[in-house]
Amino acid sequence: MTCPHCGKEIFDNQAFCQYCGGRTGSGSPLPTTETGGRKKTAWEDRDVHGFFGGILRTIQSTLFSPTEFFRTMTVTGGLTEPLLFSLIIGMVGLMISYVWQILLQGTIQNFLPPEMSSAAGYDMFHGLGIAVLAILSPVAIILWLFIWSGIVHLCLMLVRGARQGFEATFRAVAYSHSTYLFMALPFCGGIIAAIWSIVLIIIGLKEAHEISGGKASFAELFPIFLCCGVAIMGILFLGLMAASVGALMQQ
Amino acid sequence: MLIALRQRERGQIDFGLLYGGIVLLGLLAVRFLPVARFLPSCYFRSFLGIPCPSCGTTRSIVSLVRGDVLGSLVMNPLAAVVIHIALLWFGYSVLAALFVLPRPSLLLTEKEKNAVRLGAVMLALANWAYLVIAL
Repeated sequence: MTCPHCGKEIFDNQAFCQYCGGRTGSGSPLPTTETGGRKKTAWEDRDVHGFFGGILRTIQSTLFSPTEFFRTMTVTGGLTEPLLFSLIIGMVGLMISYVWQILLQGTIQNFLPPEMSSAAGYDMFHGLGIAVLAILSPVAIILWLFIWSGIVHLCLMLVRGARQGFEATFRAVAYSHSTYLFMALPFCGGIIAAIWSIVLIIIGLKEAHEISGGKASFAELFPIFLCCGVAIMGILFLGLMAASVGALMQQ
Repeated sequence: MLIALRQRERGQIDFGLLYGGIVLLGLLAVRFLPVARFLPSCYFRSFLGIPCPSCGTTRSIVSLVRGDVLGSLVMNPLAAVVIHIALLWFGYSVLAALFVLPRPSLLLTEKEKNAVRLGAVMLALANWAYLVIAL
């Protein structure tokens, strides 16, 4: 068949033209249940699973069987549902983490060197600061989702990995935010959430775009490296841990 | 290469409105809120001693919102150009949405796409080299 927009020869039943990106009219633009082995997520199929059933099943699938989840996840159907999922999970995780910050404030302060706790700006997230942060959180989650999806998709385009369009990338990133729930754990929750989320996004990109793990890893890890080296922060953290253990053993 | 003018299809994502809007929101935040004060310093630079490829972006935005376009270009030329393009794209997307105008779309062959990819990498590297020398 030929693309109705650019007139180039494309495969039959292809929903989008690989040359111009236009919709070809083949296939269902908004899949209801299944399209080519892909189906709605439990969260998007709330008529069947219900609100809490849908959200819990989606969390369970993304966290514990991500390959299967992203392999069967539909890559069309709009951005609203994945955005809503990410927002709900993100808000739950962040709100509980704010409560921990308030409750454990004194404990955390005991671990800090005096010059750090007395430094200017240290108090910016306490008291009213946390309330302001809580109000701004939904905006921050939505903006971050779009910004990160855009950056990752550009990196995918760079390595010819954007086979399914922006929506597939957006969905992979949004559903990977299931890990935000770990932010409810005090102290280490944020680190667990961040690392697990990176792993899920790589799996999500690989399965959603049907590309190699190398391309998916590049798209996720390269911007992290560029954006001021979160990887370097990780190395520094490990170095600090190692130094601390070493110092303890010498005592 | 072919530049075609097309009407936006129903359900199609309007990237101009979306990302241009985010850039505009970022500029407004830097202009009216003390956002820049709370941003962490560059870990890449602290660790390796050279600026990262995105170093100077915040300073570029700060210069831009103060109306210093040249200063913005000096801080990070690529970031400044991208911000300007995003704002122009946003402006056109708003007009196109209001007056149902067609949007330009670029149709490239696979060979041309590869050239664009290579060009983007070269541009980013050239920008980084400038930052290493200038910042």
